[in-house]
Amino acid sequence: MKYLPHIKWVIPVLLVGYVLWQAIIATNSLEAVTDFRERTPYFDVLLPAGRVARTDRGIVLKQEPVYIDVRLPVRAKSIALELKVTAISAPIKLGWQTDDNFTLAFSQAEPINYQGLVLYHYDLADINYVRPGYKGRFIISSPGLVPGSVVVNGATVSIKRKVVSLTWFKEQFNKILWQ
Amino acid sequence: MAVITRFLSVINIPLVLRAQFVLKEIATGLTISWLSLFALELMRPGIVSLHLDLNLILVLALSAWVISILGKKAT
Repeated sequence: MKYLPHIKWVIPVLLVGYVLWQAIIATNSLEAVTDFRERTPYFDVLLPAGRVARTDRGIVLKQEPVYIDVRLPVRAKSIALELKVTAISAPIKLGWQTDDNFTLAFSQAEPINYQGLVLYHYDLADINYVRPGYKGRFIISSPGLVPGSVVVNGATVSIKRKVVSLTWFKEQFNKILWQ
Repeated sequence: MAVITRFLSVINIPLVLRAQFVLKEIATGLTISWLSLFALELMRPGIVSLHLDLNLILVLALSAWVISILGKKAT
């Protein structure tokens, strides 16, 4: 009975401790999957919303380009995106926004055919730029797109995290100081 | 309320009071957690939401408060 009043502190310590562990110490990769039908903690829906349409087959592209915003964890080091597409007409290119001026870097990887789907990959070894809200932005570009011919079925993202070090703490402290 | 009172009258009241106390402590703990985690999320978006569901913690806290208050009123 004498330990019961401590429950109200054990719960916050456990929950906040877990979050701080993930933020500062954990180095395992984080993976997330989406079908773009609704927002998840990692993925937003495909934007702009007016350029896509939800169907039973998946998310149909009416216009291009279309953006995929991915929320990045603390200490995000590298990110790899796999996009599953049923493409009938023109191939698509996957890009990543590299600065505030919407400069894009496109993937050179060849698409892979797998079980009726086309898999597009983007592997970014070093995340140097994050958008406001700690997000990264992928771009799906398809010049010559015939509206309705490209159907996005889903995506998987894998994010590796940096090992925490004194340099990282200094960087964070400077960011907070000079923000 | 009459149903709850009748239900509680056939079981051990001290046990119910202890359970109500524990539930109140859990509700307080969850509320403190939610407030701390919400503040962390405001400072750095994604630090909490990528690993924990804040809405779930809030629902659990509110449910614990409601049950705790109902239990206290019934006893």
